[in-house]
Amino acid sequence: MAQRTAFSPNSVAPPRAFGDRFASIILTLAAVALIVMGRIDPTMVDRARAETADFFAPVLAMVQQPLAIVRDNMAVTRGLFNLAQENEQLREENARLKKWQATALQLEAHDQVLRGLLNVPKTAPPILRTEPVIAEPGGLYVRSVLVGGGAHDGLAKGQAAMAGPGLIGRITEIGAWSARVLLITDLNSRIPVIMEGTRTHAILAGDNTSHPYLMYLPKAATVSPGDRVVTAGHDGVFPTGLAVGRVSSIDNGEIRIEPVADLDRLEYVELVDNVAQSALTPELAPAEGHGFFEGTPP
Amino acid sequence: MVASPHPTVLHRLDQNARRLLPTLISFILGIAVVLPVGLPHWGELAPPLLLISIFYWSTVRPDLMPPTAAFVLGLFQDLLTGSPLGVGALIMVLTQWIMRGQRRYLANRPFFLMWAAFAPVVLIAGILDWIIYALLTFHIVPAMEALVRIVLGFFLFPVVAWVVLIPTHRTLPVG
Repeated sequence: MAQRTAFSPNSVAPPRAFGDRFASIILTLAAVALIVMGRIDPTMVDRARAETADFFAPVLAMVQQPLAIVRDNMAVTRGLFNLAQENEQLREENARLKKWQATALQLEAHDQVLRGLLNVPKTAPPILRTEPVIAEPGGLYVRSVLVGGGAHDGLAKGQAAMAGPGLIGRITEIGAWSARVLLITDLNSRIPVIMEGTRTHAILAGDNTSHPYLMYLPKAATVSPGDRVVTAGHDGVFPTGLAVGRVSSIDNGEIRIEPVADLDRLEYVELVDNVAQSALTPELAPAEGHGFFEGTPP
Repeated sequence: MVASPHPTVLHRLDQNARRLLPTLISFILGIAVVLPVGLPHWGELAPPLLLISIFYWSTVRPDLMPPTAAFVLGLFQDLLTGSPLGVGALIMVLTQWIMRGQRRYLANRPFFLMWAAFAPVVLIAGILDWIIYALLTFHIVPAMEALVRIVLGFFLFPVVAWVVLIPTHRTLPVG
């Protein structure tokens, strides 16, 4: 008996040639109309996207669990092979960090004294909310992630998103149960930043490569590789001083930034509340402690 | 599979459910692309799994992958990935349109013929995607990524076909 090949067993119902051709023409026109419409009225498309993401958020979140198990196990197995080396590395890093911690505590005390002298109001630490990444709908031309929290969880459009030490982007579409974070590497991402050392302002612009670049930096500004870039925060949406990255290359006046956060492996994202909002409740700030460093071991 | 002369209700229900498999499989492949699987650059590369699926079904079982299904699946992908709305839908509808007449040349033939036929499809789809994006944003993005995606799609085709599509195809009821 002949082996059943993939293509032989099924005969096909006679094609409804006319109906199909008609449908194809109509649908092609509909697709083109949608492309044009999306260009004319982007907000409507944004809403449709947010609704779709909302609808699929539970499914995507559910699929996360087995995926996370596989991912974690793979990491554990990989980790077993270089435990000794990693230990050594961590010990060294720990020693270095302890020195930094001492310096930080010292500087913080110094900062407190100076602030007190100048009567600068205390700024409340940004409120964080952590949400899992439920989808990485990158596609070819978009750099974004979908997170499993939305308007119901107190998230809002424009909030900053961090992963560990650094900024990864901001919320651009918000649904009830999900939100889309546009990454700083996306073509449409523009974030006001300052050079930490010189306090020079610039705009961090993405261009779909892994290293965003600085726009509108004054010609006279001196920048060297390794300089830290932090958020400027004067658009009222972003908190000030969130770490973004370091200058990685200067080529023909084009300054590229290496992001602090690892944008390739995002599992959880911290959403940072608008500072203007948290500044409305200054009486809460003292109760929570007096700064970022509280609670760190001596 | 031998069809009994008087199929039971359950049997008919089962047969009809199986007819939905091509659409369902395409839908699942469309979701798989956006899942954070932990592979670096997976999200950025977004291998064109949905295109592979729609290409396959339009060629071998056009009756189970009508133009409407291709359109809805493409639209769904656009909404989920955040790419310009309508681009995916356009590409999927055109793919379905072109491939549904090719059954007699590609079905019941060696597999590599179908694989070879996928090459121009994935190439043109990639170029179309790139051109529309450039027109919409007035911005020329590096062609390298588009190229990588096209090549990746081409080499993933037999994998997806043998692992997912062909086994599913074997369970389908005769037209």
